[in-house]
Amino acid sequence: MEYIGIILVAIFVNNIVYSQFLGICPFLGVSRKVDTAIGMGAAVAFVLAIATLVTFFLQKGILEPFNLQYLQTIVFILIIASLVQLIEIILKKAAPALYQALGVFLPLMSTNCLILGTCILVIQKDFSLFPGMIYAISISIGFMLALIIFSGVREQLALTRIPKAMQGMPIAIITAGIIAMAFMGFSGIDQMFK
Amino acid sequence: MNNNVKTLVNGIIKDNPIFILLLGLCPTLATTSSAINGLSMGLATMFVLIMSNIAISLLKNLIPDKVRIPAYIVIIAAFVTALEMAMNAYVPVLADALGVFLPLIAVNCILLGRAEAFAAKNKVIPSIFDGVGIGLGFAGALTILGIVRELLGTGKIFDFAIFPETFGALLFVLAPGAFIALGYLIVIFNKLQKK
Amino acid sequence: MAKLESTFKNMFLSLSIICLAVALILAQLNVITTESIAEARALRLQDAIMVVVPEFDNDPVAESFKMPVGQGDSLLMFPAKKNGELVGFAVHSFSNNGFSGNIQVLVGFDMEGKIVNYSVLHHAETPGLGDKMEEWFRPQEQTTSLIERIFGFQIETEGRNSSIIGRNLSAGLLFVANDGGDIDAITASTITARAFLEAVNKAYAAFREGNVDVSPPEIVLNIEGAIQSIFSDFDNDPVAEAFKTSSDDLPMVFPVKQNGKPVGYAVHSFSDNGRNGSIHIMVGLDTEGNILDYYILHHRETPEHAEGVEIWFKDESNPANNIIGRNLSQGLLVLADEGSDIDGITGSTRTTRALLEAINSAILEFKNQ
Repeated sequence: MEYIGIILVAIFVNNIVYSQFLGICPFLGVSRKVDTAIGMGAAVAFVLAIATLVTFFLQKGILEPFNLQYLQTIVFILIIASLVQLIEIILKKAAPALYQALGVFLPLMSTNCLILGTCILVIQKDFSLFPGMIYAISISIGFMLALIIFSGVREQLALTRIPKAMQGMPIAIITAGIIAMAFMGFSGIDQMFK
Repeated sequence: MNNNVKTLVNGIIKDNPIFILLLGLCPTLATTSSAINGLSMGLATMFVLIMSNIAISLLKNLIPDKVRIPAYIVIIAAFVTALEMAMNAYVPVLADALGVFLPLIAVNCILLGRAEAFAAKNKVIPSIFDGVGIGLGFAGALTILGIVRELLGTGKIFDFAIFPETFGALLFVLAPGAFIALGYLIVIFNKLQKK
Repeated sequence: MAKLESTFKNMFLSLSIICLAVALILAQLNVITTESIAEARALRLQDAIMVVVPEFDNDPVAESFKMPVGQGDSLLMFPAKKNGELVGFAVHSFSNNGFSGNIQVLVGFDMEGKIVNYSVLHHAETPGLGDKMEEWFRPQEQTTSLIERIFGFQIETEGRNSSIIGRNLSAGLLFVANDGGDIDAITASTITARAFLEAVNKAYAAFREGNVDVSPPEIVLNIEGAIQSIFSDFDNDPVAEAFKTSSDDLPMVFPVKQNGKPVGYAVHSFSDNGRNGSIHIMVGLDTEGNILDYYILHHRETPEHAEGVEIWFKDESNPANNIIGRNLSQGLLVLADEGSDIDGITGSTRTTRALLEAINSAILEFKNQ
């Protein structure tokens, strides 16, 4: 039952983009069309799940027992970057179709604050492995949701007249703010399951 | 010397990382709910930027091309970790306020971007100026956003009450306000630039 | 110097040396700062203890001990002593239900169980919202903003009932208004307020467990002052001649005499049904049992509920609730919603009902003698 709480909070109440501000760069960059949004979301979900798993074991298996927590930032970044490279190579060989689909998004994952941020948050929130994985997957679902909504809106925005100074980024960011306001309405829905 | 000053000013205005380049937006939105937080984040990032620019510029000839990205990442992350440790030891309240975004400085696109675009191709002194310029641009943008959000949201700037809190729009301290305030600031910055 | 070629050997060496150098430098830095971090934390704790408990001259940290509070948790308790005697406890409590997770609070109690002060040791709550808890639960301070000073006016800050200072949790644990309690939550940060109070309640649980001598606080009542405020002319000692007709401690009747003849009776009675606990009252009756006056000896009601209640039932300008001169000839005194004609205060029904209950029991006691 508590998992439902975790899932709802990660997707809606504390949406990773509209509430926690992680993943803004890809969010603004890759959200002009709905299908690219879906592709990006899927890539994030894939990489994030694996990254959380690996970093979790690293933290509990090596960093903590040897009192090396201060190396967390560096180690996590390097692992994530290497992981992304590895995934690229494996996908290219083993699932070329998937590789084509995710192709351009994969490299964007290495210095992505979303991946690193979520891995750190899982440790900070003291999740054990299974809830942690649920949390990470919910985060990526939340990200995909955020992207899809946003790209839908942006597709519409492209058809309207916007003052010159606001065209492009500014209106996109302001729109994101309005959607964030809407998401605030989800506050407290997880309390039902407590 | 003239060139270096130009570099510096560039970083603040023409190449302002937030308002023009639109890099590093995650920490921008997250840490600007008050002026002091925005300023701290900006200064912290500037510190790492300057140090990593120096280090990378010094070592640029010792790093083979194919491994430059991982190498830059390690160097940047090292400075971030050092900063984390220092902040936790000497200003823990500030470290708590910046939260998870302190370690996330390491993946701030600005740092890697500047390393690639400038420090790897220039000598140390120009790299320092670039670091200071971009750093000031970043810190300035964050502080301005922080001031706007804190003022509109609570009527205070740096915790000094300008107008009564009851007239503040709480929204600006919350998530949506970050987006909206930033969006409008970019518009204003653009208009001022064009003049 | 030209750039190193990207041969495998060069790449490997370069990366390895950088990593090694970084690791060594960071390891060294870690050693240096770990000490400072621990020192800073200890200093913060020491400062916080001094803020939250009464003056002490021992070393609370050295004498600290852990107290289990159920659910597998145990809290660190810091005893504060002066001249060898306990003056209070600082309890290091926590909640993991903050908006961003863990909140750690140091709560200071005096030996009666009252909260002396608190200090937030650690939190990751939203700046500008949840982090207001650092000051929210203390009495409100009026701040004047620049505009107010320039234009010379001042907005009245809305009174709020959020201070936990001086509260004694033996009268009940603390909860936000949304959860049925009486503490006003932080605007837009109910979750943070809830978690904060959870930590305070936990601290109290530890305090009660660890403090064998905690008994409900002695209520000091100004009996004589009450009698004197109701009766101006008497020459006996009502306290010495006090009597009661039941086997309970209260109500207690204090006969008031002049020249050996009774001029009236002051009856000390109480009700347990106030909003926040018991209400003690001294009712002044004449020799026939009519109400002359009353004096509230003790209550724990919140200011907004108690305001006006003190004089409500003797307000001469308002016959609907003025009970001076009445007696029980028409039955017990009750509020209009129970059939009589006496109005209670809107929003303070419980308090006014409890008051009337105490007054009734006073008159009944008088009649019993």
